Amino acid sequence: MSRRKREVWGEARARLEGRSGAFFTRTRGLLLPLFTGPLMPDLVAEVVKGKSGGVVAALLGLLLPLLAVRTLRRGRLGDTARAAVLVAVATGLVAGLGAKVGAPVAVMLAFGAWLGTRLLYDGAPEVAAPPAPEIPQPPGLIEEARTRLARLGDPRLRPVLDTMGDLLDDLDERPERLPLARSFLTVHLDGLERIAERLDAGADPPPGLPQLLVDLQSAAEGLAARLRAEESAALDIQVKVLANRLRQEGYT
Amino acid sequence: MSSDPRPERTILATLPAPFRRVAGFWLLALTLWLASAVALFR
Repeated sequence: MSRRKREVWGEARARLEGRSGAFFTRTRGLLLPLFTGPLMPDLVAEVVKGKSGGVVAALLGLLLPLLAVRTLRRGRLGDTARAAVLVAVATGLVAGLGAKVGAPVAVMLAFGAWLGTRLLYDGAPEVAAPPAPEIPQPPGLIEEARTRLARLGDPRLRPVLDTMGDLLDDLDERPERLPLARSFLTVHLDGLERIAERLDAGADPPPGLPQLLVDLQSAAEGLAARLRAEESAALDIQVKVLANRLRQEGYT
Repeated sequence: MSSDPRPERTILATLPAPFRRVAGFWLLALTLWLASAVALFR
């Protein structure tokens, strides 16, 4: 056969296979009930004979391949493997329980059914399972604190609010430090909210308020400084450890 | 849901498709029909 003829033949074959493959993908799994058809008269016969084992085997032999069809039609990743196992179990049960052919033959038939299903349906396009629905997380402490800060609009509190905002920015970058600041944030925000509430209600600011606000601001700055100092200390330790390591390995 | 077709990469999937389908069909038919027939006529 000439090269040109071979190419034309190859192209035609690829087209045919592509078309039949698409058809096969659309109809995948629908062949399985065809194979379990003979179990229908068997089910009737087993009921008439009154053999409960045979009835169970025939029922499972009919139901499991239907489950396999459903699995194959879903077409998710790994579904072909699952469907093949279902068909194998059904065949094994029919052979072992219904036909009573003995365990080795039942296992062989189950293996044959598994291999047959894999041969028929392996390579069909499969889609990834949809991602699990995301459970909305409750707002974190930082987001909650930001929302509460945003609600406090009194201009007299502005310097404290700005400092608290900076502190929250720091915590955003280093959320692992949050446990250190948790009680601080709670106490300060509660206090600020109460003060803002009273001021909004028209209360005259007491003489101690400016000092309290200065204290609150310096406390927030102090905490931010402490967080930074801890970060510096951690870096310092890292530097020392690395320097020691280099010295031990003989690089310095 | 992602709709990217992702064929399973198994050894069986590398066999020529017509061969796989014919062999799979007959293997399934043989095993399931045999088991059912023996159960029916036992």
